Amino acid sequence: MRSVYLLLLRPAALLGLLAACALLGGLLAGALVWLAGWGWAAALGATLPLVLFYALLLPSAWELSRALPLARGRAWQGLARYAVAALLVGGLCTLLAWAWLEPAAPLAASLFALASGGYLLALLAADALQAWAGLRDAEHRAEQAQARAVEAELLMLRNQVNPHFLFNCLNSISALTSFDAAAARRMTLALAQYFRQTLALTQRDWITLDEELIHCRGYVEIEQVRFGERLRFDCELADGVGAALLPPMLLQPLVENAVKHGIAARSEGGTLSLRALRQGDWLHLQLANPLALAAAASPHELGTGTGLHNVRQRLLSLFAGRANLRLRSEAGQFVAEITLPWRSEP
Amino acid sequence: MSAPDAKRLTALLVDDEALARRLLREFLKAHPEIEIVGECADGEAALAAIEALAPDLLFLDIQMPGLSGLEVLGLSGREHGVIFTTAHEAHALRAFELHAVDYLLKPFSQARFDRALAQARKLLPLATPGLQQLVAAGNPQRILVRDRQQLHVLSPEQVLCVEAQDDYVCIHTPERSLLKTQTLAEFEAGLDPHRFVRVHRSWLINLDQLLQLERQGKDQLLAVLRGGRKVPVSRAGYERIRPLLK
Repeated sequence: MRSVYLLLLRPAALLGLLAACALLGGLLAGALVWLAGWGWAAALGATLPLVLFYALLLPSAWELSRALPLARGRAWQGLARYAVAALLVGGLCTLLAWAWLEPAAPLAASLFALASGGYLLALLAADALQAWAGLRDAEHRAEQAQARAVEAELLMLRNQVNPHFLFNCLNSISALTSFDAAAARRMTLALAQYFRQTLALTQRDWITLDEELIHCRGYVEIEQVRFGERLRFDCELADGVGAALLPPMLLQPLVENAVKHGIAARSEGGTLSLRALRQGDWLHLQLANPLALAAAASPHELGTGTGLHNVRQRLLSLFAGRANLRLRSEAGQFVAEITLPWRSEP
Repeated sequence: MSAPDAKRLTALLVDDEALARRLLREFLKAHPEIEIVGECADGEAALAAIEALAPDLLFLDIQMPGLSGLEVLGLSGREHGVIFTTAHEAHALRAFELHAVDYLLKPFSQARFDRALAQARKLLPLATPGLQQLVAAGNPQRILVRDRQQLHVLSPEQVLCVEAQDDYVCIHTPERSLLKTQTLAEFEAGLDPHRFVRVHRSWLINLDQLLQLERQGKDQLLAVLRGGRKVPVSRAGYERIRPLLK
């Protein structure tokens, strides 16, 4: 944070300060002339340097209230700190005036009261101003966090409505109409069901693993119409894991990615195998698919898809580092693994 | 609908999805003069079938297991009678820019299919000039070479250097050398220009494999590659490589 004294380097601020000093010094001198019967020259000669000195002390109230806000510790402690600071400033000003002008005691007392009181007021005002700014700042941060969450949700939705998936499905339906109208109708309904479910699930913050799996199966069944025997899905859940709660659409992008790279890229197709288990406070989800042959997949295709990227972004924004997605390939399999904190309905 | 006296044509259907091939068959029923001579479910089968059957028309999917549709064209060198079918608009836009061939964006109607077919037939005896250009820009991440019946897939990192030999290029890797029917200029066009530099009229080198430049005699400059292979560098080649070395 920059010191408020740096502001005095700006000509406009400096001129403003000097003008304020001149005004205040004039008023005080007027008071001396009027009440104590001083001459104007003597009065101005006394007040102006004092006021200038005070004006240079005053910005320290801003620094002090920033370093020691009233809200830190107990309220009376904060007030006591400010009061001591104000008395010190008042004392300093009075001492200076004493050494230089040797004023009468009542005048010194009013000077002391004026300087201390003014400084205390400045401290309180600065503190209030800073508390207000802090509040604004916190609001701004909350807004930003909110915006990031919304962005994550948009990513999820955009990923859900994968147009190429839809186009390929429509092409399959178009083919089926001419020789298997019943199958065409089934696929139309399955597709509608899938998209409706996507809409319903994405409106909730948490769904059960069972619900997510039903959705994934719906997706796989549609893809099976396209890929036929090439696509197999095998699912193994540990006891009780189906009740786990997780944000919607965490697994579906993994399944879609696995179909794209593990099935569509292989003439012989393969099996997607999903495992879910609980370990203490953590839920582990693992999806494996056969790797496309070396001839089929260029290395950069693995794990850089937007689907996986989105899942990673969402885990980050929803769990702030307490969940992750790891990708690896081993023994001819591509494995995606999500670990997230265990959570279930009470 | 085609005229009854239309010339008989053969067609090959290539798509990894059985339903998609079935749909093409369905749409072709309206064109009895076209005979379907084969169906393939992946790129390698398509490559073999194109050579064995030499079909007049080729309906080709882009995304397929093994080899993509574009790679099939690149390897077969086929330049005529191709109609792409794909669900991906990005490919289509690029093809239209190059006036390569017609594209059928899935899903498509019978009317759209008929239009593409009519267009392809009109152009039929001629090679479509943009096609190999489209193919060359396909996928810079891998290099495909067919050596007799075997298909080799190289990633560009593996390549040391490439040498022009008449109508061929000879691709040198630390382990082997492979011949590919392509000119050096065409081959170069499909590679990342920041990685591969033409250092000589008939030599292209992989910058990542370059160890040093060595002067031999008064005018002769050689590029020393990993593994000790030396490649001549011409004056123009030196001008090209110099800014990249800094």
